[in-house]
Amino acid sequence: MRRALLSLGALALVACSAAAGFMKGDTNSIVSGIAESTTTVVGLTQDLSKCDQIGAAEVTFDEERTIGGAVALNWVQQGGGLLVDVPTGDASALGNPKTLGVQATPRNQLHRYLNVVGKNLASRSTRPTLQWTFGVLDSEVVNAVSAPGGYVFLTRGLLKRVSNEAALAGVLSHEIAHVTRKDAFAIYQKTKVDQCKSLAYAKAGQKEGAAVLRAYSPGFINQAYSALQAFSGGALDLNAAANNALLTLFSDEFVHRYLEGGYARDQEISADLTGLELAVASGYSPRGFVDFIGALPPGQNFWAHHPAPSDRVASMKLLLGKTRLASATSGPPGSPFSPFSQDMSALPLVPLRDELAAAR
Amino acid sequence: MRQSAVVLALVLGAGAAWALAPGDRVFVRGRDVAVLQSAATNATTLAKLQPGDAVVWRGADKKKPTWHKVEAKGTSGFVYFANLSVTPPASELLTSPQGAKKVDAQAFASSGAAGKALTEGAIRYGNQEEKNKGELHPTMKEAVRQTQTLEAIAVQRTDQEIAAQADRVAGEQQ
Repeated sequence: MRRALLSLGALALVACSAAAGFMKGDTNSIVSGIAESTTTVVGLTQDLSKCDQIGAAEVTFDEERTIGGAVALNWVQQGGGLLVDVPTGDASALGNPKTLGVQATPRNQLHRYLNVVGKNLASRSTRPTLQWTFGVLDSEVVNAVSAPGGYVFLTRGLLKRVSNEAALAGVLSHEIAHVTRKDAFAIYQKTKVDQCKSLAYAKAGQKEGAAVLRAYSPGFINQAYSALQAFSGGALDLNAAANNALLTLFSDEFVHRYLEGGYARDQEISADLTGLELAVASGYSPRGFVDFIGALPPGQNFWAHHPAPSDRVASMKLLLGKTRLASATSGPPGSPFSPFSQDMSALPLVPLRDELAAAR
Repeated sequence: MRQSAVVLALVLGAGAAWALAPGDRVFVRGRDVAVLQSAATNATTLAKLQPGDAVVWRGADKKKPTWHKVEAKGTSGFVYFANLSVTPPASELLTSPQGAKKVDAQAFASSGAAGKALTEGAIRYGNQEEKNKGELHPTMKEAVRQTQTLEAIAVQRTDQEIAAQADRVAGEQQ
């Protein structure tokens, strides 16, 4: 079902069909198509060394924002699109977000509200100055997802289950935490090295490399290889036109791997706890998020890669319990500014604003 | 149990290092954080602080311990405790001709890199013909336009709107 995207199975299926757009032939034809420039063993060794350099380099913000933008486009496309009304008229105006005239339609008003709530939360995060962007995907599946650089998306299906702003804040904060903790980088760094080495092996005439890249045309692989050969160390500029094929190889595979496996269980639990801290620091009751997670039906495909809702609730209650215990015995735990050290029973759930109706 | 270990590590890890003394430097978390003349939400605002601003911590108010006295911007007043942090915002790694350069959050905010919307590379990625073949609803090109519209909505949110949202949440508490 097309609108049932962002459930694991559906997303994986769409990822495959999207990749199929590159399909030009079988592995043998790809190998023969690029055999003309087959590299020597020495060349292969040099290429593999470059791949290791690319993998070892720290990810700069510029690279994070470019890969994050490409990944965000995948979430939007595969998630059924955004619930926004795109301005008609001069298409070039879209390139200047500060001056773009956006109509105050109910769907756009929904996003104004969501971005005010999200940016208020993000301003208390460890990366307050990112260009945070919060969007609603037109999907009935209950899900939320983020992309490096500051993109956070929720589905319409998730918003239907949210009954107060504290719950919404908790969900947004969980995704903000994935971005501030740079959880995607572990998958991304490995993806870069693996894709780069597949490229090198494919160009060396080895079928294994070509098999990995079988969805791409020989011409596309040649473009990517030219970019690899031009790489001379330092930060990889994926924003450059000459590196578009590399950006595509890395982005597509990152999306595929995320959909296959998601983040590690520890990363998800940590994002819950960091997110809860962020929501409470912003003045929301922790009950909003804890109750929302607790109400997710077990054993279904909600947040497919996340630990079971009961485990997530238990972790958060453990954190809240320990901090309360510590407060009662030896003063506030951790920082004297820990938001958990206050009387949290006084914190509000906060009613949702009417703008959210556009998503229901 | 691994889950308990993660939670415990977070609690204890945060708790192990802090021994704050009056006069120590701490940092602001939150936008337009008010420095108030007294420990009450309706007190006169003396200054507004931004994420990452450093302030001198003077300790919690004895009667209202959720309000902490700080010195900042040439004045002295009270800040709600959850708007403070013992650690500064994370630094960011920017590309430079020499390779990569680490900058603090405030230098990053004024660098121009922070305000970037979809990069040219990401737009090129979404608009390339190979990503728009087959039956796609929406197409990747449409996804680019929708995301650009979303970014305009996001970037046009003002500090005043965000501060009003923070006030709205705080107002519910009262």
